[in-house]
Amino acid sequence: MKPKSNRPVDLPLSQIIAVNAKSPVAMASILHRVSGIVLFLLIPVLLWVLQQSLVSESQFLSVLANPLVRFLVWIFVASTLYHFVMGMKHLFADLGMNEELNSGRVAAKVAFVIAFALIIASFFWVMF
Amino acid sequence: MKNNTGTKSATGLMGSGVRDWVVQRISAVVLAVYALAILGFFLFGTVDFLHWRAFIMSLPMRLFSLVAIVALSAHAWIGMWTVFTDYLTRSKLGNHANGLRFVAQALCVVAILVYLFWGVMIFWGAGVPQVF
Repeated sequence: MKPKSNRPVDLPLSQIIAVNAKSPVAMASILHRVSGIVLFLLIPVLLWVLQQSLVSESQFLSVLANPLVRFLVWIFVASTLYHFVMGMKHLFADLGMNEELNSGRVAAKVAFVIAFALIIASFFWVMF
Repeated sequence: MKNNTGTKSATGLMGSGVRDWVVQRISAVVLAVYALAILGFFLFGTVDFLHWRAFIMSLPMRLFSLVAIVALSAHAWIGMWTVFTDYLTRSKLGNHANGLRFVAQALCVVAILVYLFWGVMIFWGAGVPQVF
C-alpha cells in the first residue's frame, strides 16, 4: 500500500517532539497514553499485591512493608491519578466543553496542575 | 459496521470504531467510580488486614470488582489497540510493521485474558488460599 500523495509522512522524531513539547494539549494527550501503557504493564504487579494482601495478616504486613512494592504501587497510583484527571478532561470534551484552541489549552494546564498536585500528595501517602 | 475508511478493523474489540468509542467511555466511568471506591476505603476506612479483607470480600465489592475487571479488559484492549495501530505502522516501521503489530496485539489479548481470569480467581475463586 503506497501513500496516496507525495506529502512527507516520515517527520524526524526530534521535530515531532520539539513541536509538541510546546503544546500543553499535545503533552497532556501523549502522557495520557503513556500512563495507560504503564497501568497496563503494572496490572499483574497489582493483582499479585492484592492476592498477597488477602492471604493472611502476616502476608498483608510483609507485602506492604516491602519498599519496592510500595514504590511500584505508587507508580500505579500516580499513573491512575493522571489517567483519571485526563480522562475526566476527555469526557468533558466529549460533552463539547473546552474543545476550542484557547479553552483546550487552559483545560490542559488546569488538568496538569490538578494531576501534579495529586501525584505529589500520593507519593507521601503511599511511600510513608 | 464500517469505519470512515471503509475498512473493518479485525483487531478492534467490537469490530466498529463507534462501538469501541462507546465501550471506552462506559468502561472509563466504571473504572473511575471503582477507583474512587478503593480510594474511599484507604481514606476513610480502617486500614488493617481484617477490615481490608472484609471490604474486598464483601458481596457488593466482589460484584463491583468483577464488573471493574471486565471493564478494565475492554478498556485496555481498546486503549492498546489505539496505541498499536498508531505507532506500529508501515509508515513508521516499514514492511514488517503489519506482522509485528499482529503479534503485539495477540500478546496483548493473551495478557488481558490472564488479567481477567486471575482477577476472577482472586475475587470469586480459589485464587486466595484460605489461611486464617
